Amino acid sequence: MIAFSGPLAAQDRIEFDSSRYKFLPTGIRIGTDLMTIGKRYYVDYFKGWEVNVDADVYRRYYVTADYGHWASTFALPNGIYGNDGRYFRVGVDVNFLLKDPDRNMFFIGFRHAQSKYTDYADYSYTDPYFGAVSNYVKNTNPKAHWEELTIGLRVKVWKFIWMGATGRLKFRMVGKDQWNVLSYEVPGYGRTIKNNWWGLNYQLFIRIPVRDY
Amino acid sequence: MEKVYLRTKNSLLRAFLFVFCCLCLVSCFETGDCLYTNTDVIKVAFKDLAATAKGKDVKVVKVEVPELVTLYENTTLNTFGLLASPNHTALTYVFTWEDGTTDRLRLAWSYQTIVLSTECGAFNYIGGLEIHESTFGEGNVVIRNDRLLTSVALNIDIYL
Repeated sequence: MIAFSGPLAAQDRIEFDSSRYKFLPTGIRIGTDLMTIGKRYYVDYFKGWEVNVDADVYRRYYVTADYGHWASTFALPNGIYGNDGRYFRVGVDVNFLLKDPDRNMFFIGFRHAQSKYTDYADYSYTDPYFGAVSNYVKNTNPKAHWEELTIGLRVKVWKFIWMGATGRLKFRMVGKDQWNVLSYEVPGYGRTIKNNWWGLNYQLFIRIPVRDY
Repeated sequence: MEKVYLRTKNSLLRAFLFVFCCLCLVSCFETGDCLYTNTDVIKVAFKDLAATAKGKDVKVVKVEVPELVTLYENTTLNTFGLLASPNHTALTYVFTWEDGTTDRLRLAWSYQTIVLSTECGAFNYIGGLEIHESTFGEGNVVIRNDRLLTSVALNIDIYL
């Protein structure tokens, strides 16, 4: 971090010069989702982490990628449901604060996301005709994919540190191989009871400079 | 002195912060519905083979799943239910008629567990109803709906 602080301080405020744009990022932001970390410590049913990366590949266009782990265990009135998996999102953000000298961002973007996971349900109930029924069922290799429309902010808070918030409208979720259990929650997506789902991330980034402009 | 960028006077940024807060609140009000719609009952109707749309009253001596359960005895059936056991993936139903003859119908199904919500719990849902064996004659047992739901009026037609 100390090594990066020197050149970053020198380029802290940049002047807009359209002639200097190239198909190379001026910097790469690497961050993590604070809500996922907070949720991990403040609720007992969730474990997870998420890494976020973005880079300004050309003018106002940023490529962005997220990778995360998500494991939930829900206590049910008649048993337990759990899932554990990895997910990724890739997409493009369009920055509407192109001329901001501090590289603050207000963006709208699009993501394609995929998740691979396992989930299970262990439960019992009383059948009206056959009495007590106990079940342990598991999906060994279910998958899901969906799309996201995103909107968000990236705000420089100090030298090479940015904070951000990203709101996500998740839609067109398609689940596969959920033969034994209809997945109640898909890692990275959330609960599947609705066709669309909202997500929100508060992110902390470190920006690594690649070139001056 | 370092500028504090989060205390922005930029109205655009403040507007979108407000939108994010609204999204958080909306998410808090999302709750699942506690509506269990599965049934163990396979809904069956006897139909007249000569007039296919017409129901038919049929006297039966017994309808049973041997060594498991007797469903009906000495009664007249028109529309009725066959039980699908949640502990089996197939059962054979034996119909004993007034003249002492019998017919067998073996039905199979699959299960899928559905978590209705964390407040309601998980339940078995039965679907994929199939005919594995029938002595009623070729084409005389027809599956109308392969899912066992309370909202489904009829699963199987048996033409006699």
